[in-house]
Amino acid sequence: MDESPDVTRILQEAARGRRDAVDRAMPVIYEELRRIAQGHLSRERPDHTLTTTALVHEAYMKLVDINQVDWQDRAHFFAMAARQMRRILIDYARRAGRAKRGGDAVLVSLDEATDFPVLRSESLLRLDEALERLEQTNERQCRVVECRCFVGLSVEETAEALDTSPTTVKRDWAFARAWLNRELGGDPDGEDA
Amino acid sequence: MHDLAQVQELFEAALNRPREARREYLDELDIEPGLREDVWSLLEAHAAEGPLDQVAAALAHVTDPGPEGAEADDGRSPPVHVGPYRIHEAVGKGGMATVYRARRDDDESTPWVAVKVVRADADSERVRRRFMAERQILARLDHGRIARFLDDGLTSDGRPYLVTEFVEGERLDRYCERVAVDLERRLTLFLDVCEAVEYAHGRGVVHRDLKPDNVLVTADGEVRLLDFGIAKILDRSAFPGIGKPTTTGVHVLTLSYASPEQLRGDPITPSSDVYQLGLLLVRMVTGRVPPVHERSVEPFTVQLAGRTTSPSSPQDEKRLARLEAIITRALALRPGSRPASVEELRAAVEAALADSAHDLAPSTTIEPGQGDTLDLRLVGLGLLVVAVLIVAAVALMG
Repeated sequence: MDESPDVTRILQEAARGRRDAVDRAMPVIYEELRRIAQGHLSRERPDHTLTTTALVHEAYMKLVDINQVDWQDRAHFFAMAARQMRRILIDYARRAGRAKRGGDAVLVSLDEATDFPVLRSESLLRLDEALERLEQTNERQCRVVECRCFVGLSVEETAEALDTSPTTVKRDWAFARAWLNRELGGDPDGEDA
Repeated sequence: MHDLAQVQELFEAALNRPREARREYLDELDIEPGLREDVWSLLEAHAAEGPLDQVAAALAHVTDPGPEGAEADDGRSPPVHVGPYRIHEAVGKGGMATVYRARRDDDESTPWVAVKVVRADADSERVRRRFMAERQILARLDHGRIARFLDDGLTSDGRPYLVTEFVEGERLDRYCERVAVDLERRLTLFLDVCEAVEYAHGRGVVHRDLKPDNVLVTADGEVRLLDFGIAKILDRSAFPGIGKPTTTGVHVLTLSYASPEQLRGDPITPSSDVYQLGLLLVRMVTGRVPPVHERSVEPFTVQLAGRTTSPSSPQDEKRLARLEAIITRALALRPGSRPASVEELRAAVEAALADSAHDLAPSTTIEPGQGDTLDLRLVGLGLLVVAVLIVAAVALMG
């Protein structure tokens, strides 16, 4: 019924240490998240708010047979989804930036996403750049920020998703948060209304 | 650029010291000045709210700053005055508002109040409507265990604010770990929380954001329910002028405590509060909540025995077994399979606490012969399909 790769199986393989399984899962997760996000954004719903948390959960329910994966696989799904969520939002922000400058009529629906003004601000793109720099010095801290900010996972959930302890996540988060706040605080302009 | 590992090490060492001692600590270290200033600027960034926090709040609606996030007394610069209130300090922040401890004018004899102000960066028509709704909800509620509404108005730059009674207290979960160490005391506190929620339901209000952050316990051991910021009025006919009905309950949510219907974006009923109360009780008893990916599976069975953070007497063991059954029902994916009301949940917990002889038969609420208990796996599978369909249906609704 479904010709796309089986994420449930991929998660099981990833759990057995197959690195390429993760690489295969990423695009599927990306595509599903993007599709769901687009669906939400393009429909006029007067009182809805798009939350990344809800999006990721929706993708999870669609892609994974929850009776066949254990809790660790599920946690890993959230970690992968966090990375893809970041990519999707950055893609939106880039296109919004282009649309603002007069090109790209494709993404008309973005104007309707009034509940998500962050997509139309430069701050998201700057966060992405700062995260890339952080990733080069400390990859795990970058992953922690993705889980916390892009999916809204708690400290405990982030720890499970990244196979580490809550204490480590708390430390990483405290430092990465301060570092990013400082990095992003340097340039006060660049915000749009 | 300094070695980040070293910077982090110094940053953490300084952070472990009291705030006023950090500068001195760094000054006395034998390190090069550039490194010292690097660490210092990070400590400053740590203490203040910055651009990342704003993006994060807008992005993931992170309403739960987590156990480490309660550093609201750390050097942010709050407004001096809001209306007639003199701001003392920030005590909490959410995606759309900041809460301050304040006092009317400079009169030291007046009690502290909590002033909630819409954040300048979050001010929008939608947030204002939400604020209006919260005001009207609070004004409807007059109960000893719910923080009382006192006043409202506009700041000098035109942002709305709300004033409620200031509750001096400790977060429910921390209070359980520190003070209410035995199971009996914890359950009694839980019953108090239920009572407040039950009252709100009686007034047509669903809280929708029940979690330890929003329940404080005062020094006298009294429970106070806070933050009706995403609460919703159900019986709209009784409350005219509150805006359009919501087609979906997903506004701002905390993943850790979100009910399945909130995650799906389904309409929210009082049953969502029953679910969140179930999670709250698990947290109170075991010190943690089952992560969302564990509890999204049907059948999901709650385990308390052997996981409590309180010492268990033989009597407690019996209570825990009963609580497991009660909470498992409260955490059913489908609202219809949960206890029908907070009152019913409360009565069941009360019975477990009293350890009364007669068992609370589940058959009193689940119609015999219904498919509910026939094949849970099948039901679970069906639910998933239904969930996906509902998401699609909600999306299609204009």
